[in-house]
Amino acid sequence: MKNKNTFLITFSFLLFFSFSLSAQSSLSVSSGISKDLNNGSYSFYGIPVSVQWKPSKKEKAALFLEMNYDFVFPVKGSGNAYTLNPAMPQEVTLPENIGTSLFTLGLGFRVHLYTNKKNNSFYLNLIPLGISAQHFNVKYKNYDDENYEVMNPDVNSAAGGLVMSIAVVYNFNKGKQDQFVMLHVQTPTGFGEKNAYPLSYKSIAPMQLTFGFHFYYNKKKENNEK
Amino acid sequence: MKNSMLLFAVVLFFSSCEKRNFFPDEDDPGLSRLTFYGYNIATSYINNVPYVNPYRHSFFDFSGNYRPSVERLMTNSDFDTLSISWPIEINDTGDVNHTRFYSISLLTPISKTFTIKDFLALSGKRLSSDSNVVLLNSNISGSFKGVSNLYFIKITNDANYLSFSGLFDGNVGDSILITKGRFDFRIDAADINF
Repeated sequence: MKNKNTFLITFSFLLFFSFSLSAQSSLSVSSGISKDLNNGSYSFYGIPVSVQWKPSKKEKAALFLEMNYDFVFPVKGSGNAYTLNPAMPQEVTLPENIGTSLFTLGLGFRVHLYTNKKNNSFYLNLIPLGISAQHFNVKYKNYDDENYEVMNPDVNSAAGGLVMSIAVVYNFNKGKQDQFVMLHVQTPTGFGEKNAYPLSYKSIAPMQLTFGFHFYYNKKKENNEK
Repeated sequence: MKNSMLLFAVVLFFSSCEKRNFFPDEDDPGLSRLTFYGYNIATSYINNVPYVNPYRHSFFDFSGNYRPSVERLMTNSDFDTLSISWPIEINDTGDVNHTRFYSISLLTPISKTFTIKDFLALSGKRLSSDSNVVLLNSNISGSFKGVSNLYFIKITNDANYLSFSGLFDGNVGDSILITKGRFDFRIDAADINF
């Protein structure tokens, strides 16, 4: 909930300034699917929403601010619980639900790779500086905590810190729908706890494949980018 | 030379320090989670007051959670006694009026030929209060003897270290109730006498 409010406030802030700035700025919005690369035993999949604001006139080597929110689907696990109560089974296996969300804000720049005769182009987006926040919620189903104790339980946690990411962007239908496809990979963060308690899951390092649109404001007629 | 000696002392100090490894159980305030990580942590409620084994601070010697004493007590009866004892303290410095217990012992009868193999065979065994005894020692009121339930959830022997985790509870009549007890111990197998 906290991440959603931050997302909405920051998006509104960016949208306001995108209208008030002079020509050539663009806002790029995309969505698609993401897969976590850092958790071997759990496959966190999600639906990412990415908003990128490029205030500069330039197309090449341009700075941009990117905001990314990943709606991650919960994954299933299990935990073993034990009881001293002689009237109950001494050991039971409980289904476990691990839910999470991911929010990232980054500052990066574009590197032009290639443009063909149809003006479709490849860019490399490099984000050497980003801040990410992840929150994990764990719940054991049918857990009778009065009589049972889960051994080595997973618990709720928060991970956050600096991240880096890289993306390959293919821009097409330029001058018409201004569409793009992006493959985006981000490093994981740490849980940052002293005397860290071992958990069955790790922080997410998402790989995202998204499709989106560039929205230009007062864009000038395109010249050959080469 | 002096700086080298000081640096060496600091390195030696930190290398012999163990972490507290107390991770709060969200369902049972004041108690640590049930784990099998060799944390040498044991917690329980005694009359709803959380107790924990103390942490030992020492500059020149080992620092860490107090380990249990595990020993076989010889008796004149048909059975000997397996004793698992550790010091305890209240895990709430704000409670100054409660009777303070300073140690707890869990006692269970064993055969005269009990060995480490027999101890390992207790893994996964739930022992009822028919035969188990709990002893609580108090600073003010002496010792209290009652009955206990004991569950050795997991016991392993790894590179001459015995790791064992489990649950326990007990009572001394109606006046003292031990509830939600859990332990996660790892001791040198050479420290036991069977």
